[in-house]
Amino acid sequence: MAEKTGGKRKKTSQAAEIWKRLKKNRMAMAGLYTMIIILLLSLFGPLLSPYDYAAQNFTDRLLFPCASHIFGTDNFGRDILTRILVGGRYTLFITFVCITAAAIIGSALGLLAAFYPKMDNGIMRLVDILMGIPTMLMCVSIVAALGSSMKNMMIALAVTQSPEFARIMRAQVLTIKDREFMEAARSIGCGNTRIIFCHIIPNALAPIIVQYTLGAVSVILMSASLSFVGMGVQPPTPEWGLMISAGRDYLRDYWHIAIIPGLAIVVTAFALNMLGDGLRDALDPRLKQ
Amino acid sequence: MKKTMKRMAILAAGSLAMLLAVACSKTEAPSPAAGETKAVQDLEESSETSAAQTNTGYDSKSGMIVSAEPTDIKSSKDSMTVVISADPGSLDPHDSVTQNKHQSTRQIYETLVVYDDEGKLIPWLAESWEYEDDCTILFKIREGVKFHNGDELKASDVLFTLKRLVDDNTVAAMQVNKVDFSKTEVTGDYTLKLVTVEPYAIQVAMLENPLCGIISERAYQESGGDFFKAPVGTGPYMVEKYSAGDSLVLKGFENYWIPGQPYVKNLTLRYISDSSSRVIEAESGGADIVYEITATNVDRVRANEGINLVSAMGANTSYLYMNQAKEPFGDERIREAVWLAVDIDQAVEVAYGTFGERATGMISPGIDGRHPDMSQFFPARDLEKAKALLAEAGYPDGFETSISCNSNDQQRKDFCEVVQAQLSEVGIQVNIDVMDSTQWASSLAAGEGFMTIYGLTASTGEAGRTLFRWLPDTSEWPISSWESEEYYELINKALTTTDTDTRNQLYYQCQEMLMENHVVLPVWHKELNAACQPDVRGFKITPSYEQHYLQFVYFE
Repeated sequence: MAEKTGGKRKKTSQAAEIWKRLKKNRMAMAGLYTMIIILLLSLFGPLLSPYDYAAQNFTDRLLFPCASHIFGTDNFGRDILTRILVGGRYTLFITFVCITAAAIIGSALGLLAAFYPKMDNGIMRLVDILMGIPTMLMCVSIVAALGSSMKNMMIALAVTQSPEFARIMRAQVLTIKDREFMEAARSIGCGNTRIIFCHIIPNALAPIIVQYTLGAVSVILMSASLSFVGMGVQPPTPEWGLMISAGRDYLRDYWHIAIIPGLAIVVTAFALNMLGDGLRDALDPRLKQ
Repeated sequence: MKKTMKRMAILAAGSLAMLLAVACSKTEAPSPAAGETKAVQDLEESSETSAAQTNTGYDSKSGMIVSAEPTDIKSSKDSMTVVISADPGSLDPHDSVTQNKHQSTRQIYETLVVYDDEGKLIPWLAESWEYEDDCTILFKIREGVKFHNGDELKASDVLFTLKRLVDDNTVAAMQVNKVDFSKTEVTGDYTLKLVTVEPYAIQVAMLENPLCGIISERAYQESGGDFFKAPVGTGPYMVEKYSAGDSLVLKGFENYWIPGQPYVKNLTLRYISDSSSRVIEAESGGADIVYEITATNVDRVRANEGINLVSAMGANTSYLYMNQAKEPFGDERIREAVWLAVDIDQAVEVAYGTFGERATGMISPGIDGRHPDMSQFFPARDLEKAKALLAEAGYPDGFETSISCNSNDQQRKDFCEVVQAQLSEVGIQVNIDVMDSTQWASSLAAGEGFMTIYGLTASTGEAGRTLFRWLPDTSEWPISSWESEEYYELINKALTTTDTDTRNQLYYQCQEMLMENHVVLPVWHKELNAACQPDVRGFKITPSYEQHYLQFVYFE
């Protein structure tokens, strides 16, 4: 009993330690708060907006930002603010699903490769092949083969993001495998499942979390790029990359149509990057001199 | 920590306030009323300056632009850059119907006949032609015309080219689908007897299309399949360097058969697909002629006094297609419901603005055989009737379908989005498939797709070449074919009628049939335009865009 509570206290204190270190990092906290704001805005913002993101209003076309349309309207007379907020849902949803899928698949592969040396060669060569192909080329090929749609784009993004996780996980597991506590666990008769889930994964998680946030940034940028070239989300869905693409033609006269979704992407990616950097420092203080 | 938070909050509030201030100061200019007056001003301006803006031709005493007569024109500059919206894909003039291809290849290859400024067929590589009977045309080939490799053009090259269209199974085969090659023969070095299987009034006009550009037989045979890497034609320009997707560098052909031409000896064609970038090239003076100034930029160029915008209504009309091979569009009631549910006026206004015209018939204005008044066939928007028709056809709650378009055409994408919103009002859920243009074309060629929008060009200057595209054997994409015996008979009868008036009457009937049966809804008559620097002279836009003659262009 005493042991148990002691263990628990120790665990919470480690998390608290990380949180304390993270809190000291102003940039990381700014990133975290920005992400929370973006998340809340995209979840609840559209409910408050008086406009429908898809409703075309031809009398209010191409309005610049003003009191009734804070971010103006696009060439179909749709309120850009509403579209940015709804677009945020899609962007965050795509990012979350893709990067989570990539993290799970990639980590599982890396773990298997490191834990069962027989599979190592096969899995890691596959990972090498995937990493050898330029990501954008690979995404475009997958989407071209499966057809342009949001689902297929997400599959492509998850596939291209997972090799990185596999590499990191494998490296982590290889170092953990030879540590003393592993030997101890084995000697008291722990099975493979228990060893993997109770000893390896918790100890290998830190760099995966960092990669998770940084990978999320590349998913945001990649999905915007794919939608921009017409291979991702299809209209009238207000995905940010698609909005930039549609506003491109009006850039010289009505800059706000393309610039505002562009800023949304920049802010989100920047916030996630700062958070990721901060997390890395907080999780592994040795990295910071 | 607290301090930083406070600082950040102040910073954020400050920047937000600034953003709002900037935003609100911008609101006055583009309010609808102001926008309207601006448009009116533009209109007035453009009508005032329209004489100057389109005057890049010769003065009246010098005669026609498109003419085989030598002139004493001297250009003040000897190199020219022309911007075109798309790469030709290859330098084979026979392998694709796209206008952009022929804007490039027309400089290298020539055809037997061409249209002059007034739309009359005039001799070109053929010096003359006459009808021996209804099915036999005797061509006299011009003597002394040289290919780029120094060989002289002979009738055998012409026959070889026409046969190649069919033998290599090119899309250009539709230009000679009525030619009876077993009877067509070379009767001398410079004479060719062309025989058609039945009387075919538009055969000579069909040979005007740049799809029938004449190539050298000897060079083709000796090239071992690499002919189109270093092509040999009779055109005013020879290929110097072709960089796919980027540019085509051309050099004037010294032994060209019209003395003194081309006036400008060095020609560079650049390919820029982004319409805004094209406009910037025109405004910055980076290019002498820039093709295809599209809807979002056309007003800006019109208002720019430093650039001449040459424009003309073209021979191309865009249509809203519904694939009858796919459910539920085989049912005419569904197609009618779609016609009633869309508001084309509004869609065209949003997508194309002041560029081109909303379609008023199946065929572009000014084309021979265009029905004089088709207004009764265009339905007014009626959502109740559309819903009733849907219910009658068994889809009371609408259905789900898709519309496809090519990603490099922003106007078509915009059009699709408006149609999507309009059809949703009667319960038809439309997904938009925006595809890369080659992917889009191949999906349509494979018979896929439910709805789409694209244009057809009456490049022969008469309605037949558009109307025969609903025959299954001359529609390159199944989406434009229509299974109707009655229509086949009617259009075939029209195409084999030699008397123009009778033929036009038959064409009128064809157009009525297409609209009465809700086969295809005409949407937009394309405007063709190009921005020219003020010193460009001798430039003319021909109705199809395809024959554009840079050999006549010179600098003042």
